Formats: sequence, C-alpha cells, structure tokens
Amino acid sequence: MPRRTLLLVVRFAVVYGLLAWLAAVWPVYAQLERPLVAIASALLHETATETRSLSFEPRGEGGTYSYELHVGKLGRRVGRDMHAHGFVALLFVALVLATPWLGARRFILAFSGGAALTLVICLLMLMSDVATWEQEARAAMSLPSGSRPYGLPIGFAAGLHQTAAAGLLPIVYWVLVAIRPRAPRA
Amino acid sequence: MRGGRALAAADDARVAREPAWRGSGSALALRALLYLAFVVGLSNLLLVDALDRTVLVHVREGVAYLAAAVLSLFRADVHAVGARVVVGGSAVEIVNGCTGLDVGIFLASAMLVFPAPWRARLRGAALAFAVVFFVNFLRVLTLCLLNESSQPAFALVHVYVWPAFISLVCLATLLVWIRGTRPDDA
Repeated sequence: MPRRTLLLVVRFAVVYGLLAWLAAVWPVYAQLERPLVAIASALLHETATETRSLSFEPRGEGGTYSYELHVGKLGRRVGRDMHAHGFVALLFVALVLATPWLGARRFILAFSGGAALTLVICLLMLMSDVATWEQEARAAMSLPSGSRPYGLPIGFAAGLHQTAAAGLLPIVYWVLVAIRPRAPRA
Repeated sequence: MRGGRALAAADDARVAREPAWRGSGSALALRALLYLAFVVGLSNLLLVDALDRTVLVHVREGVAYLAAAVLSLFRADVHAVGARVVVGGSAVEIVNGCTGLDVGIFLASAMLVFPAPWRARLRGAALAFAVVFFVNFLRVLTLCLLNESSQPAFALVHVYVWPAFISLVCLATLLVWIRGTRPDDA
C-alpha cells in the first residue's frame, strides 16, 4: 500500500476511534437522531382521515422512537429502540478530519456536498424505518397497506439500509471528490 | 491532518497536471448520478423475493456452512443449520446484510463508474467483491464466537467495530485501486 494511502487510512482509523469513544461516553448518537426525527416528522404525509406523528425520547445513551398512526377512529402507536444512523456522520467527519487540508474553497465545497449527502442518507434510513412501522401499525389495525407515510416513494432507500453499506456513500464521495489521489501511472 | 498553504498549493499544482482523468464538473456529476443509480438499483435487488428465494438463500447458507466448517477446526460444538451457525448453545443467523454483498455492491459500483479503462474497472469490481467477502467472512467468524461468549461484546463489535473496520478496508481498497489504474484515454 502506498505510504500516503496508508497514512490516510491510519489517520482515519485513529480519528474514527476517538469519535466512536466520544460517542460511547456521551449520547452523541441520540443527539444526532433528534434533528433527523424532527425533519422526518415534518415530512410525514397527512390527509383528512389519516394523521401521523413521529417523536424521539432520548434515554441514557440511546432512546426510543414513537410512531403514531390514526386512521379515522382507529389509532396505533409503534415504539422502537434507537438505531444509530449517526454512525454515517461519524465516519464522514472522521474522514474529513483525517484528510490533509484541501484549501478553504475546495474544503467548503467538498464538505458541503458530503454533509448534505450524509444528512440525506441518515434521513432516508430513518424514513425507511418509518415506512416499516407504518406497515406494522396498519397490519395491527387490520387495514390494507395502501397508504404511505411520505408523499414520495422511499422504498428504494430500504436497500441502502444495511450494516455499514450506507456509510460507504460519503466515503466514496469524499475519495472521488475531495481526496484527489495521485495521478495514475502513465 | 497535515495543514499549511504549501501543501494546498502543491496539491493544486498536482491537480492542474492531471485534469484529463478528473473530468469536468458535469462529467463528475454524471458519474455521481450513475453511481447512485448503481447502488440504489443493485442494493434493492437484494430485496426482491424471487432473487432471495433462488440465489440469495444459497449465498447465506454458503456463508453459514463455510463459517461453521472453519470454526469446527477449532471447536467440536459447531455446525450449520440452513443459514444459521450454531456455536455451543447459541446461534447466529446469516441475513442478507451479513453476506457482504451489499458492501461489495457499494464498493464495486464506485470502481465501475470511475474513469478508468473497462478492463481495470472490471478487475476492480472483482477485487472489491473478493476483499469484501474475505473481510466479511472474518466478521462472521468473530461474531459467531462473540455471540456465544459475551453478548455485550457481540453488540459492541457488531454495531460499531465491524462497520467502521469494513469502511476502513473499503477506503483503503478504493484508494489503492485508484492509484494503480491508468487514466481512461478511450
């Protein structure tokens, strides 16, 4: 492995280790989840007969999601333990901190894009969870599974919601956009 | 985390010498869209029932069988039952997120959209799947052992350590592959 690559990988490992340690000491993941829940809740689709709400209650190092669906007079609440979607953000921040300084303009452009991508990925993963809870709630109330919690179809995000895989998106983005590996051999 | 204007200037000078394979902003955006299409499309294939019943079930059972075969070299109380690895009194079920296919898709897709000759891209994609399958197999082995010996350690390693380590391996693989590829002058 080339020395520059090895150094970058080692720095990434060290920084991620430190951030993961901080996340173990303080409830970092729970804090990262709160704004995601607020956005996912604001995007919920409602009609005159269907109302939905999503909330998050931090508890210790984790927390609990509460999803409520009301269809006419029927109502159902689904409670689930927190998923640490924020690990994607931690991976991205670790990679940014491990990268040699890019220059202010390049850094701002690359970081803005990566941060937006990270936010969208975390949000889509949470919204994909909500879509699952919606199905569970409808099944528990013996309702057909026709309606969706969001106006846009987010079924495609289910495939992204796998262990580690979604975390690779900002990493690939950062490698291709920001790190700029040395010119290939001619 | 090195800093300084000199490094940024040297980096910019290097970038100025290698514009051909970096491509323009619109080409980069097109490749990014293509990448997203690849990962979303391929990762959602893993959720298709017909594919799951005909192909993916054999991948899961294959991983479980191989893991049990390796672990049985060191312990007598290990065997595979379908997609489950039974170690002593505990069992780990291999699901689609445990086969490495999803991570392989994310990494191989990055190589497939990179502006390199097609032969290099295909070799890269094969390398991506080989590396990910190998590392993921080590992950399965350690998790099978930890599940039997310590549940808290299993949870910690499963949720935090392995996703980060796999991301690290993918980052290193992608960087090394990029440095070893020739520019696409086709």
